Amino acid sequence: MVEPSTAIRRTERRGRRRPARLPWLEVSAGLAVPVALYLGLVWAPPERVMGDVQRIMYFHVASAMTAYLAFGLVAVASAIYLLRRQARWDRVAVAAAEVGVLFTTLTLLSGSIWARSAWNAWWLWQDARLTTTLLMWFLYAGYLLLRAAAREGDGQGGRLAALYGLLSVAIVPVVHFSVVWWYSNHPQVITPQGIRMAPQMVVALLAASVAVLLVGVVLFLQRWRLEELRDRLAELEMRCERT
Amino acid sequence: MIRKELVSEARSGETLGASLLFALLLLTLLSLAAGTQPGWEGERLAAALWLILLFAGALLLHRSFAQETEEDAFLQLLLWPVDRSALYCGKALASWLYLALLGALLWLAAFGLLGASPRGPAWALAATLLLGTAGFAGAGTFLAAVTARLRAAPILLPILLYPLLVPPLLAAVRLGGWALAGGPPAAPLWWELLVGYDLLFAVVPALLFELLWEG
Repeated sequence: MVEPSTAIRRTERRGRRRPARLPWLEVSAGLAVPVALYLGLVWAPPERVMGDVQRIMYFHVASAMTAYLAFGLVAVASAIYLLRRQARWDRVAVAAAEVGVLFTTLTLLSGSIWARSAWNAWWLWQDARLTTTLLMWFLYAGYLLLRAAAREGDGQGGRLAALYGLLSVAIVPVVHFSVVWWYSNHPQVITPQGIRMAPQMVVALLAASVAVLLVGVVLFLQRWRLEELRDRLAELEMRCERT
Repeated sequence: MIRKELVSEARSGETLGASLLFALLLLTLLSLAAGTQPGWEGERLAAALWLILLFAGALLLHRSFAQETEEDAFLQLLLWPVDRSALYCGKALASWLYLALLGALLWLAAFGLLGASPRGPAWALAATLLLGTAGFAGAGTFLAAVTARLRAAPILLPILLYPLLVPPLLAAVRLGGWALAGGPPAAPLWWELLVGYDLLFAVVPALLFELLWEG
């Protein structure tokens, strides 16, 4: 455990330093989003069969990648937290989990809208990717619920959540393969979309990925900072009570 | 460890009874609500029975830790001169026994109430029940321990647990459906998945259990 006063001093130092470091990320995210929107929605050619609806794919795939990265970060931060017990890693985990749930929601919604047009159905259970993503969303929504519930409790939420976060990550591939096998006797409804893309489409996808990832990073850093400030506030309140 | 298991078994007779009553009630409501439509067989019947078992089982698993939390007996349990992973094993084995018993009685009641009867091999039905409830008990005991001290535990436990149970649920329903309906045997893959999942949740929580109680 870190001595509380040192922790406060450290967060104070970090709190002063952060504003000087953040803006360039926010500015580049702010620039990347309109550029990606232009490239994806205007500049890239419409897809031959699906038409303009295919443009959702750029942001759909970008959201999915950001969500997976965020969940990977939850796992790494949870493992480090369990090993080292530094509150910092717990804050990383919660910030990443929230960003991950947000972008998974966006992935599911955008995919569903696209599917309505492309497959004439909002949802197809036969696709293991959809079903796994939905179950992953449940896993991490549960993770956030656990954290919220544990916050009122005896302050051991970090450890409980880290254990659950690790277990969830271990189980996601098993869930995925079981869903694949479950539907293995059904016809293959989905053929990989967008593998043979026009070069302009690849550029648009890359731009969207960068833009969405930047937005994700900015949100994550803000959320992380908020968590830090929250802990610091709690620490200061405790000190006030003591004196 | 075995003694503790027996003690908790004697203690939670009421829990087992209540969960059994709950499961039978759900089965009754299900047969009533779906009564005029025949067709409870094969995978559909297996799916319905497993879902009932999940509902009743979550209550049972929650109670297995809630009793000790309420009575503040947990500290005493932790002070036992045994390895904490042994504590997990004892709890999980007891829960497994209860869940398998609950499942067996539920299946028997379903054969009576829904007029279904296994057309496939009976050993397969028993095996899916044993293997399926093993994974259920393994993951469930661990998460019940995670949520034990939280006020929201009764609702949190199923929310956290059910997504993790998708692989054994799918495997048990596919295999149970085959055992109920007969026909060509299900792929051996499902047996492997069930056994693999059980092994995973026998080993991993036992390792993590130590981390759960410190601090």
